[in-house]
Amino acid sequence: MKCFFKVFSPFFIAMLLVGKSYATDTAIVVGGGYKLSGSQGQIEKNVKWVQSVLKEAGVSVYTYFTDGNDPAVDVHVIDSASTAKPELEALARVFGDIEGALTRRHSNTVADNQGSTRASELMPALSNILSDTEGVPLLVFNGHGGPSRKGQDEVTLKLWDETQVSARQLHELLEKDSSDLRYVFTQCYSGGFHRLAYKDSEGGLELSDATRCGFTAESAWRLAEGCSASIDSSDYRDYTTFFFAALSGKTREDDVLSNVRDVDGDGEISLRDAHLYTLEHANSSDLSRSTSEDFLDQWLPWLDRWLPASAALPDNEYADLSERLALRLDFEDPVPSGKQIRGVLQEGEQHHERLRIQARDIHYEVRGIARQLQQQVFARWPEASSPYTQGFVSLANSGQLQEIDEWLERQSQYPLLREHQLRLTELSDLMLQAERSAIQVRKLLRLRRLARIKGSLYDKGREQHIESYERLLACENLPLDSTKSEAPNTLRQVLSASDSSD
Amino acid sequence: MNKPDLAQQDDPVKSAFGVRTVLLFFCVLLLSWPVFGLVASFFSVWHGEAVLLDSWELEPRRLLLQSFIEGYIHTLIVTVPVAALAVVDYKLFARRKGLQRYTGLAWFSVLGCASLVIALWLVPKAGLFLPLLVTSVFLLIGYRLFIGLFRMNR
Repeated sequence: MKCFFKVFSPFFIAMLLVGKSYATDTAIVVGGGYKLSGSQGQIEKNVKWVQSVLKEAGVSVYTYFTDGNDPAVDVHVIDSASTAKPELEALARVFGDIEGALTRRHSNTVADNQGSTRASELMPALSNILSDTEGVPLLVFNGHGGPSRKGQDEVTLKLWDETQVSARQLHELLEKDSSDLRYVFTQCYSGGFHRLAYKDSEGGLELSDATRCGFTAESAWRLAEGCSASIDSSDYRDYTTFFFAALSGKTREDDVLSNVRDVDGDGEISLRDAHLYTLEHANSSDLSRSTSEDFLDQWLPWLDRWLPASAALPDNEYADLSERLALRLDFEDPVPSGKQIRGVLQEGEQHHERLRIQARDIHYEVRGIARQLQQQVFARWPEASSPYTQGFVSLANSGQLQEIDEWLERQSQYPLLREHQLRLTELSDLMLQAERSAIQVRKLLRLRRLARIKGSLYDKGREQHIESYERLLACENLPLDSTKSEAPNTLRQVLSASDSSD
Repeated sequence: MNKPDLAQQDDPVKSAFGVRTVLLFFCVLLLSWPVFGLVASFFSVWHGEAVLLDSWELEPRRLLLQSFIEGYIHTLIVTVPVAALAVVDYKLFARRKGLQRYTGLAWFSVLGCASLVIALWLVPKAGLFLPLLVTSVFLLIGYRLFIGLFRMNR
C-alpha cells in the first residue's frame, strides 16, 4: 500500500486538491461563561443569533450553553450606567458597587439547549457528535478563553463551573478518530486553537490527515473584544457579529449587506469570504485570523523575521484588502510607507495612553471621596460598618438604609463623586474607541505582512508547503452549508479510496 | 633537586598569542548574530515595518528569544567560517607586518562581497543587503580595534 502511494503520490495530491462532495450540515454551538459573573448577556445574545443564522441556512445545530437547562441563574446583564437609576444609588456609588446595583441576573433562555458546557459533559458529547457526523462539522464557541504560559496549544476554553478544555485536549480528541472539523472561536487567546489543524499540536507545519481549518477572533497571545454585559446589540463589534452577518447577508438589525465579496468567485459566500469581510469592516479591537493565515505566520522563514519589510506589495487578496483599508483610514496613498503607518499608530496609542492616565487619576480621586463619605457614614451609623451582623440587619429592616442614601445625596462631595464616576464610564468607552482605532492601523500592517508572506510562499516556498496552504484555503472556502460545494478530501479519504482500488 | 626543563615550559608570548586567537574566534562567532540582529532592528525601526516590530509589540518576549536563538543556530554556517577567516588573518597579520595592508583590504573585499552575494542569493531585495553590509562594517571595525589593541601591547 505504501509503495502504491509513493508511486502514485502525484495522482493522490491532484485528487486531494480536486476533492469530491459530501454532506456537511452539522454545527455545534458552545457558549456561555464559566461562572455567573463571567457569563455576560452579549454571549447569550450571540449564541441565539448564531443559532438562527445556522438554522436559516438549513444546518442542524447542537447547542451547549452554560449550565444547560438548570433553572438556576447563569447569565447577567448590566443596564447602562448613564441612563438607568438604581435604588439606593448613592449608597451603591459610595460603597463602590454601582455595577452590581445595575446588574440583572436570569436563567438562560437559549432554545434547544442540549446540555451544560462542563468539560466532563461537553467532551463526550462532542466526541459522540463528531463520530456520528459525516463530513466537516462546524464548531462555534462563544465565551471566554484562558491564556497559556507555555505553548500555543495550552490556551483554554473556559467552561461552566470553572472547568476548561485546552487546545491540546481538543486536538487529542479530534486526532483519536481523525475527525474533520471547521471552527469559529471568538474568545480571548483563541489563536492557539489553530493548532487543531496540524498533526502535532505543539509545533510544526505538517497538517493533520483530517480536514480542519477555522477562524479565530485573536492570536494566542491577545485578549479579544466581545464580552460586554450590555444588552444593546447595535454596540456589539465582536468577531461573531461581523462574521455571521457576512454569512447570512444581513446584520443583526436585519439590514441587508451588499458588500460581502465572493473572493474566490465560486458564486457562494464561504467562511473565508466572511472572514475577509470581517477583516475589512470590523472596527473592533481584534486582530482576527484564519488557519491559512496562521500557517503563513508559521511558515515565515527565520531570516525574514529579522529583516525590514520590502516597500512593494505583491498582487494578492491581502494586498487589495490593505489598500482598501488604508483609504478607509484616511491615508492619501493606498500603499503608504511603513513610517507613515507607524506614525499614525503611535499617535493613536498616545491618545489611548492619555485617556488611560486621565482615567487612572479620576479613579484615585473617586476612591478618596468615597472613603471620606464612608467614614462619615460609619461615624453616624456605626452598624453600617459591619455588614452581615445583627446590627446591620436591624439597620436595614428599620429602613435606615434609605435614610443613609438620602443623607449621602445631600453631602457636598457627592455630586462630584457621581460626576467623576459617570466620566469614568465615558472614558472607558473613549479608551475602547481609541484602542479600536489603533488596532485598525495594526490590522493594516498585518494585512500587508500577510500579503508579503503569501507572495513569498509562492515565490520561494517548497511545493509541499504550498500544497498544505492550498488545502487549508480549500477548507476555508467551503460555504456555510457545504453540501452545496465541492469539499476538499482528507488524506485519510484518499488513502481509503486507494485501499479500495487495491 | 631537578632543574625545570626549559624546553617544556610554555612560551608566554606564544601562550598569549594562542589565548588571543581563541578569544578572537569566539568574539566573532558570538557577536556576529547579535550585531546583525541589532543592526536589523535599527533598520526595522527606521523603516517602520517589520515582523520584528510586530513580534515585539504583540507577542510574548520568549517567542522573540526563541527566534533569536534559532537565528544563532542558523547563522553558524556563516559565522564559523568568518571566525576562522579572522583567525587566519590575525595570524598572518601578527607575524608578517608587511601584509597588514593586504589583509585589511582582503577583509573589506571579502565581507562586502559576501554580504552582496548572500543578499542576492537569499532574498533578492535591498532589505537584507543593508543590515548585512552594516554588520560587516561593524565587525570589521571591531576586528581592526582588536588587532590594534593587541599590537600595541606586544
